[in-house]
Amino acid sequence: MAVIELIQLSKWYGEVIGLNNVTAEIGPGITGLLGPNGAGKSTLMGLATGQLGPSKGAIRVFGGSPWDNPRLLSRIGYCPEGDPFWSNLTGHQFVLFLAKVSGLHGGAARRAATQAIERTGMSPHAGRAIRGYSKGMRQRIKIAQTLVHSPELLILDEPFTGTDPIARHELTHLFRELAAQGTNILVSSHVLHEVEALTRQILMIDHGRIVAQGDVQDVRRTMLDRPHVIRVRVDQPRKLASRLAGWEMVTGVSVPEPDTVLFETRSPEAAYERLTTLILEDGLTVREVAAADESLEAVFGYLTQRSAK
Amino acid sequence: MTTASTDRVHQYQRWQGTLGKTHWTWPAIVVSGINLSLRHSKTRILLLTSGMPALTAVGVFYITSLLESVVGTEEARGMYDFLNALLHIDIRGISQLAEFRDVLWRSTFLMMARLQMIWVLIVVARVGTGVIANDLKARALPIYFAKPVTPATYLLGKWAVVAFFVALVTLVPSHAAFALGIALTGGPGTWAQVFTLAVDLTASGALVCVVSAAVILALSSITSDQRYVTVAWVAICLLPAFAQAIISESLPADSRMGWLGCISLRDDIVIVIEYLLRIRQGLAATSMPAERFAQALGSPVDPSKAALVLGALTVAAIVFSWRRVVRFSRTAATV
Amino acid sequence: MGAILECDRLTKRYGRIVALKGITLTLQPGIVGLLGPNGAGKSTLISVLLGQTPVTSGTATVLGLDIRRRQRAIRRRVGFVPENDCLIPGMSGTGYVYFAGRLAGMSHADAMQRAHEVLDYVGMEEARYRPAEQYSAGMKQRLKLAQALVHDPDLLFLDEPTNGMDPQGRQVMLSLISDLGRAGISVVLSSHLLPDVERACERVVIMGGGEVLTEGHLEEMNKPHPTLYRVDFQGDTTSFQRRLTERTVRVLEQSDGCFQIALPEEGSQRLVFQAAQDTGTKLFGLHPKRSSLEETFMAAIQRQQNA
Repeated sequence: MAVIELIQLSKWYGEVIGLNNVTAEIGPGITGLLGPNGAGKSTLMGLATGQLGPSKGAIRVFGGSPWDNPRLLSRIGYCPEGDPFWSNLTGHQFVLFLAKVSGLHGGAARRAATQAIERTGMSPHAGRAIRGYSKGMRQRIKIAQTLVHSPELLILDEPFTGTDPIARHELTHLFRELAAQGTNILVSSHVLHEVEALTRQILMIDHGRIVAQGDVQDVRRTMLDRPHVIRVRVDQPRKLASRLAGWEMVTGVSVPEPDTVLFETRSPEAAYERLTTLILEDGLTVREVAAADESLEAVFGYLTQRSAK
Repeated sequence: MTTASTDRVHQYQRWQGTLGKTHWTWPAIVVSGINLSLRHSKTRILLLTSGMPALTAVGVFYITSLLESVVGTEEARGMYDFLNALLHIDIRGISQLAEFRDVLWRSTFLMMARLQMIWVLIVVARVGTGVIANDLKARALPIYFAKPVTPATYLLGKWAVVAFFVALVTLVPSHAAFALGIALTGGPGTWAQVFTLAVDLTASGALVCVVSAAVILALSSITSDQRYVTVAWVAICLLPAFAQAIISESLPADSRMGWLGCISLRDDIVIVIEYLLRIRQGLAATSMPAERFAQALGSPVDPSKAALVLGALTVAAIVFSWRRVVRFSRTAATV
Repeated sequence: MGAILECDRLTKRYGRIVALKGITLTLQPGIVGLLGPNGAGKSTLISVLLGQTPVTSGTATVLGLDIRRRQRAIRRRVGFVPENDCLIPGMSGTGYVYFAGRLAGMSHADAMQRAHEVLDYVGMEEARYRPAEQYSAGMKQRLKLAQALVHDPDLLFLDEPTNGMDPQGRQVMLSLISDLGRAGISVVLSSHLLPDVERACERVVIMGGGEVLTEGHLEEMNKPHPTLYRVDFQGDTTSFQRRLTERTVRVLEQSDGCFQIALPEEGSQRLVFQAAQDTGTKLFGLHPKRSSLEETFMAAIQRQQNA
């Protein structure tokens, strides 16, 4: 069952459109929210956390409307993009305060705060004032604050920004662990590799509309106008290229590097099968066979090109 | 016939020019600082109003030159009153007015300098307070110190921006009034007198520029928030005068002078300018009874204390801002 | 051309904190990634090499110039793109780049001409006449690059140039950097975004705790393993696995439609295709195992922590 449902949802600010007539279902599990700057990602997150009300249509989180609904909101954890702190507090005071705001009391609040700080690896720094934190530390204390009331849905706006590779690695690990324990996560990021390391489920928006949603590979398959590109690293690239050029299903062949052949085809499954036969018949030594454009990055590139047109 | 070519704009083009001397990067800082400040129309209007004291001075020169020809007549009475009200100078009954021209001009310039201190206060508050603070706030220092800019060139450039604007409201109007006065009335006397007055005026203007620019540079390098700098600057300019007024009321008259008279930056500058303009010496050389000028000049003040305070303040300000900028230049890439 | 930089036992202390612990490093021209966790000493190293921060001990040269004595000469030949915005409020894009040119010692005419040239290069069109505070994150980054290029440096230090940019913006920035490499400008790229470093750089230096932990060519670091492969396929898992084993290919791990395998010897990939053909399995991919930059990075940090 979907965690977030968008039903003909629109949001505009004066004349500026944030989201335009969007219908979609998000979750369960981890979903990557992608799109260029100003696409409407933060608007969607604002609507899902009840900070914004829809201009038209409806948004449902766990079946209810998040707008003015504190009970529902206590099941959601939100990590905003900016730096909304009182920077004179220590990391621990900050998380503890937000634990209390979320409805925890006394010992329970303290335990929850300590635990959340520990999970984000901030224990050694929790006694220091946030003022002196680096970008990566701020990011992590913000995520600790998100986790403190054990929410069922995490909404994370660019949680990796400014963190160093070690923090990225640890946070990725943390999010996957949380997802494995049943937490739903909606995460936006500009670094597609980070999203790829977390999930295959994506929701991509651009100009306030949904451009693609679902499993990355399924999204790739729906792009019928784009022939698949297959890369073969082989000992005799020109021989392979000339054979491939003779096939009807192949629409283009090139040898971009001395040991690599790239070819395009609209029927990849048949092409892979015939390729195996060809390799054995001709006695070629193949070091790699790979789809060159099925990564999230390639798919994202195709989608943004298309929406630019 | 031309050779075929393609323009490959989007490929990186190397540059074949040569770079000039690195010590000469400070004028670039000055020009850009001046341009950025002049973009605000309020600053431009402020600069225009600074001509008002100068116009008043020209008026005084013109009136006194007219007086010289009508001395003793009924028509002169109104003008006597005007001068008395403005300069606190009583010239009734003096027949050889032309003899006092030089002293009169110098007194007028002292009055003008007093008035100009208001413009100095405001113009420095507008263009000077942010001169380093805004670079700190925008974290723009790496732009300077990754280029061949040294702390000295940076500081010199920033200092010159403030000094330029202070000169625009002090030196420039004074000299303009001087030139206009000469054109209208034939000058304060002999050519030698014209020359020495020009030198004295320049020295007094330069004093204001050097001191105020140095002080604001030090204040501006303390914090990245221009508002705090503005508050500090206004406080430094006004608070000592208030304090002095309150304290001196409660003290016996003979202890009013001395160091207490030197705690106000503005008063110190005026005292030294008074000394530089050499009014008392000029007066002593004439037959004018000194008491006629008593109210205008006040009791004689020893300028050495004021000069010492100003000198110490300026040196301290320069040393302080130098040390701050050296520190900034060392951490520019890491903040 | 000689080394772009040579450090010999370079040490920098701030009181009791040692930011650089005797770094000895030689870099040849090219595009180099400078990696490391926060506090590794990357920023300090850049600052030292720009001649800003005085070192405690050791020596270094940048483009053959001594960092202690030839600071201004160094800064005339290097460019620096700081991590922060560092824009001067009120300046237009053109005015900003022009000003940077003047600070480098260019004449008025040269600086103006060159400002437009580098703004063309970074793809800044009409926006160059607008105040730079209004720019988007990506435009600010490109403007900062233009500012560093205006005096045509031979070496460029970039600190997190792709931070906060969207994927398209990053792609543009990375291709500009690669193009600079082709034009003969060396680049030292400090970044937390390992995929970006992987795409733009030829070599990497990994720092940690004020030391150089690993250094080398990316291509060598990410060299494909000769016998370890991943196979993507569709077909009967059991029979394909049996057939592979019969043909002396070891299956190390299996998951849905994917095997990790070890070939008996280098160059024997043929066995996999034969096994696939024998069992009617469709092969979708054959990928040699490579250690990604992230793995190399994490391993280097791990080794240091253990030591």
